[in-house]
Amino acid sequence: MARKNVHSPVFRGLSVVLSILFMWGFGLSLLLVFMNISIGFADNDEDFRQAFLEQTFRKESADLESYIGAYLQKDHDDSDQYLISMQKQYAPDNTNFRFAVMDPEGNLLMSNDPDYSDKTPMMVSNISRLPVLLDSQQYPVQKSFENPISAYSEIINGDIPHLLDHPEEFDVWYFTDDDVQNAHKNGLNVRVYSEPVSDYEFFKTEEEAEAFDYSTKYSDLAEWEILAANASSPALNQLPETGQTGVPAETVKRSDADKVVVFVQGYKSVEQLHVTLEEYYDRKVVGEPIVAADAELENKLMNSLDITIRGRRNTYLESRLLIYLPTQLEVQDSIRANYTVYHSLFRHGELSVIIMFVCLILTVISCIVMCTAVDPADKNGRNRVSRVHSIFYELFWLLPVALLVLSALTIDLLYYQDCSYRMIVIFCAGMVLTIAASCVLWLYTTAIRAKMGTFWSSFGTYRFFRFVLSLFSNAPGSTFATIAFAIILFVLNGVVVPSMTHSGLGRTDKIIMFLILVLDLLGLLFLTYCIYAYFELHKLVKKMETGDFEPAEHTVPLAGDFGRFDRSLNEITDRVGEIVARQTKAEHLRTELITNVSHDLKTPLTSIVNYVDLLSREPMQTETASEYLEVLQRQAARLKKLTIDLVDASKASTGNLTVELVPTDIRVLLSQLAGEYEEQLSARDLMLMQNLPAESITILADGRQIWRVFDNLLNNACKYALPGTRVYLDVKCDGETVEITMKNISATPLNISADALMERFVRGDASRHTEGSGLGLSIAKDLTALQNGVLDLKTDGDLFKAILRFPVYHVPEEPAEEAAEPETPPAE
Amino acid sequence: METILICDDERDIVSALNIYLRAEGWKTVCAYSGKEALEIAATQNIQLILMDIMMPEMDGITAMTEIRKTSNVPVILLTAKSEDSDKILGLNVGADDYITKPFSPAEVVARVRSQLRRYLRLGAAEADDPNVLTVGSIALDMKARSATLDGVPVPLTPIEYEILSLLMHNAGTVFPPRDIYQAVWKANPIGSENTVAVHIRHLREKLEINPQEPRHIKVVWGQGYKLEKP
Repeated sequence: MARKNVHSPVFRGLSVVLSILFMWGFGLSLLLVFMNISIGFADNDEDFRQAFLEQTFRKESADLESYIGAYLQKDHDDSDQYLISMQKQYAPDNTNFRFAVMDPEGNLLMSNDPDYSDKTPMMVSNISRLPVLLDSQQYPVQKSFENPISAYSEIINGDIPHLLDHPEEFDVWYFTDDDVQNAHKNGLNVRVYSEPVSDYEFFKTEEEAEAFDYSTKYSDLAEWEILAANASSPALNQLPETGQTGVPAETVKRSDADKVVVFVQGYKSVEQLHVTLEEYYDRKVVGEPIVAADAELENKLMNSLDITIRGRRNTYLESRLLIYLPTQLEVQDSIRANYTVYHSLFRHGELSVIIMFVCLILTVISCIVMCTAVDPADKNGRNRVSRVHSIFYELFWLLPVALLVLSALTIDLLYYQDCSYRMIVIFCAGMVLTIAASCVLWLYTTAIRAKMGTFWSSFGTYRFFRFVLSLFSNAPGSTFATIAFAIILFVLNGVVVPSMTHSGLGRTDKIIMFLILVLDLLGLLFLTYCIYAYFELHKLVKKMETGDFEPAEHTVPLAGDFGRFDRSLNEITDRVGEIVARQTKAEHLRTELITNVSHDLKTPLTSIVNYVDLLSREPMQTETASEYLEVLQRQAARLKKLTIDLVDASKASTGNLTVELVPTDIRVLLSQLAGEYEEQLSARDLMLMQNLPAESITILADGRQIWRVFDNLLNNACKYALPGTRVYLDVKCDGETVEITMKNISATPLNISADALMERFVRGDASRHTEGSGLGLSIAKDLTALQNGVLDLKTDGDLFKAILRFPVYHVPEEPAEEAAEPETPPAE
Repeated sequence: METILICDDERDIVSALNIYLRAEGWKTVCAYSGKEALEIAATQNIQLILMDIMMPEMDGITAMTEIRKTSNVPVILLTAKSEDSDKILGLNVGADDYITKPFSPAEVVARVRSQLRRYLRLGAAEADDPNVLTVGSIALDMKARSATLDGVPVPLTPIEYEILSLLMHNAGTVFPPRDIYQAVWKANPIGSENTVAVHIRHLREKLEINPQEPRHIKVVWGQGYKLEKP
């Protein structure tokens, strides 16, 4: 009784449904547990809010930071307007959303909460460190160069290479206008570019800023200091007091000490001097004398270059960005809705663990029950398994995985598309249900497959490999050797060679490469040989197709399996050749036998014919006797015709007949035919209608034999055509083939197929009481074939059609006489 | 009274032939092998020999070859072989005609008569008449516009006479129906080439013993007609 229950469909269905439901529950609670773990099973509202805020603003904080950063750097003229537009753009409906930005001192820089203060109750979400520009000032730096040449060489020749390496990190520094004017007075235009590091350091407090050791951060700094000291530049000592932002001067001084200076380009005004500084320098180096004018310039330059360099340096301190939600979410907006969902999900962290375990146990139980309830056979033991269970097994493995990946991707997408949490939760539940169902389906089909014993065989991969193996199941060993060789070549060329070339070639690598190349070459040779062998064998088979059974010679002998195949083919050709020879001989013998027998028949037949004739001249005693005699006469005549036709048929069918093919004119032939048959046809009240083309058509035929063909056809028409009808002879020619059609209306219904008409001893009326041997059409067909023609018979109702086709013979044109005149003129 | 030697190993055939030939008023002598035939031919005055080819002891061909050494008496071969090669061999060795088995009595009698006439007429050869053209057994009297076959007048229509005349003057040449038409009718045969064939057939029926197997006027299928040269 219990057994019956187990196998009942209702029970089975119930177990499936329960399995899905329990698995669904398990999946959902598992998800909850995972989420609870991520927030550490928080049990107070504060933690919830914190987690929620993190969850909510993770995606948004980056945007916000860049917005606020831009704002703080005062890159916009109207900062208040900017703030408003930012709020609008950033959180149009998230009215519960708050943020506040504070400078390092803790002063509020800006906020979208008009009531913001330190005491505002909030869910603190995130404190981001933002760079706040403390100071951006021009600092003059003075540096004396001995002369433009030393400045040029010092800077151009890379004495401060750091700046040249990273030009993008520096602001452009210029000489002051005074410097330029000063230089200009001396007949020289000078520009010095100096660029400090734009890298900034954050300091929460001033102490921190002061304590910062720049030399560890910037190794190049020391170098610069040395350089500056050597130049005995007063710049470092003469930095002005700052303090606009309340940052101590010392801080600025220290931080200012990094990278300054650097690019000096001296050049002469075009009007005054015609030699550039560079040229000047070059001349000095190569020892050329300087022209008088240049010497004067040099003098001027020597004493003029005491240059003040002005630079700008930005100093940043850290400000804080606060993103938060008020404790009471007063506005009914999407944030509040999401928070409600969020809160309700996480309220029962411990409970979800318990539910998870319970669901797990229930799932396992229901699944086990389902698996036992699964039964591939019904009460009668008949197989009634759904086709679903013969689908490739991999699909059932892939389905849950694919669904899982799909849902993960979709949830991520929904989350970043600001979908409400409610929707996401509903979607999650749906997806988990689908996944659970696909898992149960997998389990179900697995159970069925296991019970049917098709577990392994229903894997598509298994079937594929079995199919591939079956392709070669009877293949000779060399097939596997060849495939193995191909795989080795593939691995060598596709894996080994690329990996070797990737890492560069050593000495051994080169040897290995060479060996691989040799192997490749061998493979190529082998392949060529295979193709050659294939075509040789193909040629042999083609030859056999045309009826040539002579064994073939190969220029290169075929080895291995090809050789065996070749020998088999040769064996076949030998056998078939033997059979053909034997058959030809047998046919020959048969024809000979028939000929001899018919000769022997003719002698007694002659006596019969003659004595029947003699008898007919004797007076007959009774009427009956003369009647009998008539029968004898008729049958003797028929026997005579049969004997003659028999020999003809035998010869024609075996081709044991010499035909002498000569050009034959169809028009002439048909006119002769018409003349011959005129009387016979009119005796039967038949009219011959000829449709001949205007031009003459020539075919190659043996006159006597083709006459016999037409003779047989027209004889037939005379014998079997309905008196008073017309017999048609139509000739059509398309240039290559001539088609001669004879049509007549049969006197008796043609209750017989065209093929049967052609068979020996069959006549149209299917009974043999009229004269004739019944061999006529058969002989005609064979004779036509002997002359390279085709005879087709067609019957359509009472219409009898005989169609003859012959290839047209194109008379070779006579070569034109004396076409080529001799080149030498005849001797006079 | 002409004597005819009948030679065949089949006695029934010999006696049947005997009856037919005697009924025509000829004397007959019978032999049943080639050897016998040779003996009789050597001892008796024979005007014509009817001889079977396939016989025991000595076949017809051999016997005839022997006879030909001493006599030019007409020989008609009786043969069961219908192959062309056999007929040609027979005629080449010296036979004057052949009859294939199974033969009809009427044909045998006709052929015998024809051969006898020729043979005897040849003995009393008429004086050469420039108006008479003779090809084989056919003679054409161009003056009287008439023809004789072995001396027997053959009634011909004017058209038949013209065709026969054309063929006889060019014996051995194949004439396409078109050429015959042009020569006889002096016009182009537009759609009336069949006419030539009909007249030829009529001519054959008058001149041939067995029109199905003409000995004189031959059809060259697909080419034309010709008169066989003797």
